[in-house]
Amino acid sequence: MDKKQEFLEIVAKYCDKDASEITEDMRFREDLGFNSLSFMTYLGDLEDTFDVELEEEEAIRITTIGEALEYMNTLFEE
Amino acid sequence: MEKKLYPLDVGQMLQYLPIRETGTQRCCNISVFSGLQTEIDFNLLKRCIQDEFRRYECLRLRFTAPDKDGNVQQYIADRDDRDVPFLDLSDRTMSEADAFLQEKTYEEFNEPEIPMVEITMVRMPEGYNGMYIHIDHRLVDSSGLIVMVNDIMELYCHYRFGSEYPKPLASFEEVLISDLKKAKNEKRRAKDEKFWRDYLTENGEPIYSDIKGSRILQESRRAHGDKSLRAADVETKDRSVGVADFHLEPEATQKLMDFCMMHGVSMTNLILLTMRTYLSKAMGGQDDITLRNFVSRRSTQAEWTCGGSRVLSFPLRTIISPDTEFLDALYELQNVQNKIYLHCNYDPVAVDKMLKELYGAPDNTEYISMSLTYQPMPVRMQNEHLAGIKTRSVWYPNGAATKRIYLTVTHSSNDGGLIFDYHYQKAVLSYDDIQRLYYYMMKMMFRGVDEPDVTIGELISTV
Repeated sequence: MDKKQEFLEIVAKYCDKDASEITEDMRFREDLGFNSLSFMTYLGDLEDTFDVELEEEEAIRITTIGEALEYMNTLFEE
Repeated sequence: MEKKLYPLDVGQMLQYLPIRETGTQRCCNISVFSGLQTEIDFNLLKRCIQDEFRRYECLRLRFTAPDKDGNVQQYIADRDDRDVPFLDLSDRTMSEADAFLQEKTYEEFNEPEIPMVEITMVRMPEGYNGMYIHIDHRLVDSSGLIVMVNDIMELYCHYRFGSEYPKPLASFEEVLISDLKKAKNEKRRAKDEKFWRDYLTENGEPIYSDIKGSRILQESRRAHGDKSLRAADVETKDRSVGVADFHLEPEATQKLMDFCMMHGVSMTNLILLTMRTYLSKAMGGQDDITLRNFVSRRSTQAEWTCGGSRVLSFPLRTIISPDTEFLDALYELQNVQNKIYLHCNYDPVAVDKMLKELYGAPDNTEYISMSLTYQPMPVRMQNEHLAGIKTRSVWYPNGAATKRIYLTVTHSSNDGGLIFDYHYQKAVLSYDDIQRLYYYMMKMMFRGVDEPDVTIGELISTV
């Protein structure tokens, strides 16, 4: 499984959707039903799964799947 | 077949520790009546409850006898096909029926390896029919209980009216295994531990606050002969519990929810800010207030429907200058809370232990007098076939208060209005104290919502 797919599978765990239904323009809160707790837990899940360190302040500002993917890509490249 | 034994997870352990401390399982009981004001086919309801024992794994949890260190283990029994008793209380008054069920909440599940839940079908006065659920908190928390009641009623509607069969519930065992694995992740644990150590040290030792004012701390200082003591004694001898319920009308509730939506803040944080502001007022303007917030770790879809006790509680330190505007204070509090959420899989018992090691407060003292649980999910029973039928949900206190004031805020299943349910230690507080607390909380909350730029200092001095 590539990293993007793995990332979408993690997002899908938190919302009532299949990974294949999740698109880059979707917003975590408004479209996928994340709340503060689930969003923060999901960030922790990303750290553990991909063994990366998120910059909390930056990660909290992310609103869409596309932005999250872009941010994760910068971490993978480091 | 050999039993597969698992340790308790951190959420269950949090419920189990008071059993060890108080020597009674009673403090871990949840007892609820949930029913509808309509005729119910009790034979069918029995079938649904029996189905639920198959669908909801956590109902089949059993605990072993404590080992030499006092620890218990758990396993899931393969099946539980017992009969479901029926109780007719319809010839009594509602208060007599409630008193009868209240008495049943004191029954304990003390033997090892026995079922830890009893479900009784009940015909209540005033035409209410439903079920009384008496269950150990390690099997479910309030969210888990609501999922279960809703699922039973979905089953009922399926069999009775042909509505869609409800989706399967997640496996408790699978989520438990995943939780235990996460708890062993050393890197995660080190990150969480560092966060909590930094959080507990960055502002020094917390200081106790109480709705009765500073005299509670002064009394503890005198009792311990320590003028600089910052923690106050906890009532441990008389744990009898008082209950005070207040209902906020749906229109007023909607106003709060609209405010939260408009400003991107949560209801939990709005309530927490109001609680700490009232405590600050009671303490003569003390700006350093610590509360305890209960976090229900249900984020993934599986976590929502697996049952279990996923509630953890952590100290929330708020140091808010009186010059801070209400909305800014809310954002400040929310920022802290978000950071806590990122580290809320850490063992809360370890956090309390860390606090004790850092500052060496005497045994049986506390920095915190008020705790909050906000439960956003109502007991639904909103199947189209049940729409418009009046519901009744009663949470009977288990008779043992381990917290000075424990506020649970839920949404009414009838009108969606907020219910503020205060459990308090009767030995130290009266109903009037709690009524005053609620009154001021509402005044402060609505003033802040109406005037988000009002300062915390103004709220304290003018409300």
